Amino acid sequence: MSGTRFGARGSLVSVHLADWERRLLAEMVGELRSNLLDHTPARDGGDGLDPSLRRLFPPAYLSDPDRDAEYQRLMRDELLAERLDHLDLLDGTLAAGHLDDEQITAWMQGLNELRLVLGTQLDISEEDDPAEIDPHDPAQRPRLRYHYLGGLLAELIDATTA
Amino acid sequence: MPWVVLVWNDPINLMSYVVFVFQKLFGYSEAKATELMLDVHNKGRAAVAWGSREKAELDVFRLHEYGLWATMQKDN
Repeated sequence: MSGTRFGARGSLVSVHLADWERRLLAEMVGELRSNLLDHTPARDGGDGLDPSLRRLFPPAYLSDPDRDAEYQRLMRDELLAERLDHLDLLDGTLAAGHLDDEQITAWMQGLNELRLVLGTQLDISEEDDPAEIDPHDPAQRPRLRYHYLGGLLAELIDATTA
Repeated sequence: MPWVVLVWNDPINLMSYVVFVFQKLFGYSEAKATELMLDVHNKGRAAVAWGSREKAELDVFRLHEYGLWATMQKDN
């Protein structure tokens, strides 16, 4: 789990994930995709949206409900389609040995979406310390996963900007 | 340039991720992107782009695609 899971290789990034990591990511991506499809966001500005998905469909206008409703009506389906597209791309390249530019972007967006949903469910704070988590407590699994995803995303960013 | 795009602080997005997104979407230097990220972190929000309403909506959409908490308003 040290910072060697991604490596810069010219314009590509090499991937060195253990089998359990690829399985875990496939499971989480599958859950999020189902969640997105089962709770198809309403286009009326947020009503009916699963609370854990709110961070994936934020308002564009904070103090203008009419304009925001119009924005959501026009853009929400497109945003949903984009999210499903890059989750598919992430899922489809989980076994890959290296990633190109488009795949790197999909991985970053997908990993970040998983964090946004988990972090919202956990009502996470910036000070949340993974060192305080008991890894043997099953109830702490979502928190462990949240911090796992953060470490993975940080390493991918490091490899991309190296 | 009557509209401004704001990015708001949130406890989830990684600092390095926010810097990466600002550079990728707006072509900011690493120094400028880091300065904007620190404004978001320390002041609660930062203005990251300006333009017509159409351009601002596109910028907001692209920031939402990356999971950032972005909004737009008239720039007074």
